[in-house]
Amino acid sequence: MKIVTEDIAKIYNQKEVLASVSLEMEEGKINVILGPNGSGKTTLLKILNLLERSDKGRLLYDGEECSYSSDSGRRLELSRRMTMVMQNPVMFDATVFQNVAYGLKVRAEKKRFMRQKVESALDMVRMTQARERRALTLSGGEAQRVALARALVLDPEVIFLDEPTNNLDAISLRIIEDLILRLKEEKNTTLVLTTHLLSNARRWGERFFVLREGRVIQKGNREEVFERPTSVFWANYIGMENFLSGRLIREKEQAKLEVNGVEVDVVSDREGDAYATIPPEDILISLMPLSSSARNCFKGKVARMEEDGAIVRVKVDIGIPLTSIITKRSKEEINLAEGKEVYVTFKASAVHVFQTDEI
Amino acid sequence: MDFLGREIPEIVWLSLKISGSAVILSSVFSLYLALLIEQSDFPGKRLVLSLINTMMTIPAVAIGLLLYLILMRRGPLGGIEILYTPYAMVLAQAILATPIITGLSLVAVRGIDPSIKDTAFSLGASRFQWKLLVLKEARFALSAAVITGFARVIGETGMTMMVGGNIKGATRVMTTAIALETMKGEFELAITLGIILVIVALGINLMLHLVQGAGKRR
Repeated sequence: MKIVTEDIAKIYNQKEVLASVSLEMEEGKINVILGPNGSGKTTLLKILNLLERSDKGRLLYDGEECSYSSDSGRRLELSRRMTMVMQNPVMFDATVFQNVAYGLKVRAEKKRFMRQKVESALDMVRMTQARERRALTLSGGEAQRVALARALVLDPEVIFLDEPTNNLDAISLRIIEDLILRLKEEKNTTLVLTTHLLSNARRWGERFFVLREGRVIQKGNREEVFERPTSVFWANYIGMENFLSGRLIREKEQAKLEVNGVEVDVVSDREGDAYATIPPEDILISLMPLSSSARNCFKGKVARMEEDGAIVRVKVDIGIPLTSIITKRSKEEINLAEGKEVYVTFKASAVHVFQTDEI
Repeated sequence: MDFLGREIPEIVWLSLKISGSAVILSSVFSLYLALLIEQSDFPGKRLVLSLINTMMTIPAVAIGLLLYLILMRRGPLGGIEILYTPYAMVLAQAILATPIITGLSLVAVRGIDPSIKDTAFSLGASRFQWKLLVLKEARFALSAAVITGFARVIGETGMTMMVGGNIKGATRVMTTAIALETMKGEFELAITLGIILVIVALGINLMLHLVQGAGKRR
């Protein structure tokens, strides 16, 4: 199912929790809503799952409009094509089997069919042995797995997962990760998940939406969202290094970013206040100035070196601090040491520029 | 000791029948009311809640008096002629039990994790199915509410006598019989009934403990 939101807004106690949220969740894809705690992720999921009313905007499911306030029969019919696994799933006071069977029971499914489906869902989350256990005695990770089974058993077209990997033990995490990928591949399920943790999402996500204080500040595929942040906030959040704040100027045909008196060649057709990031792996370090096509070459001093396994993070002061990543072997070959004079080289196109109004 | 053979079983059975009917009647109404109040937001909800709490402590004789005035021949509902019948007693006891069962049921359903609602709806439950789920989730605390209601009405004397009249073979129940026999100096019957009433009370308490124990063991 494809889900589109147009201009969704939600206000709680006079506070705007969501503001003009417009997104497209693609069918059969892993859609990830990213953002810090309190950015409105859970509220958005609940609105999409028709569990909460939105104060403004439209929700379209496969092109058809529906909302929390729609006719209850229609809402029920549509909501039975989707399901949500909460961040801290609550278990019903019943056995694990009965918990997983609940969704089928409310759909008045036949007992035999129900038993088969529940068994297979429990098997998928590797909880078959806990079938007759009281669900309230499960650990956090086990409850999360049973909650997932409770959703899987329904074969929904859409599964909303709110922080599915939060506080999970290693085994549960692996099982849930595997399942998410299997669901997408084998059943073409549309997955919409939220997370404030980047590492997992980055691995499996296909479409990303960055939410901050109830607003979508960036959306796109993995490369767009993780490599080309359009805001200072997001650049910081994803741990972008070499974060520069300055002013864009033009000299003849060349755009430059002036930062603390250092002029960095960049690719941009704008002017005025701007921010930029340079991926550390795009910065070369040499003992002599390099003659190359790269437009930026600065002399500086090695301020600090941090070894991390086979790689070394080298902080060079060129008037502004820049971090480069080199291998341990390179460091040894050029005999790099703190205080040593070096040259840093990087291409103008390696500098990702964004302007203040995008923040 | 002839009464042991006929009269006592009759009185005990009538007591259980009247109080049992009253509690069943009241429970259906109270559970529905508690769910309705808890699951909807309306202006004056707090007022309704404190009214229910106040009603929980209302003296039974006040209910007896009010009902008597309504049901007496010249009263507004005098025409239905149920005063001094078991029906009036059931009605009075149901009215007495309702605020107690409603109040305790409200506490019970409020104790349910609010996320249960979202979980049930996201798994495809209709509003009715959700209500059933809430009752099921709160079953231990709700049973305790019903048992407490029963305990309150089975031991009630003054009100029951006012609207029932303590007619032998028709509206005489354990409490009214004990009161009457004691006043007459017929201690044998009074003591026997008193012992049975205490046993019933003990039984109710035991049930309550078992239910609460089952709830705690979850």
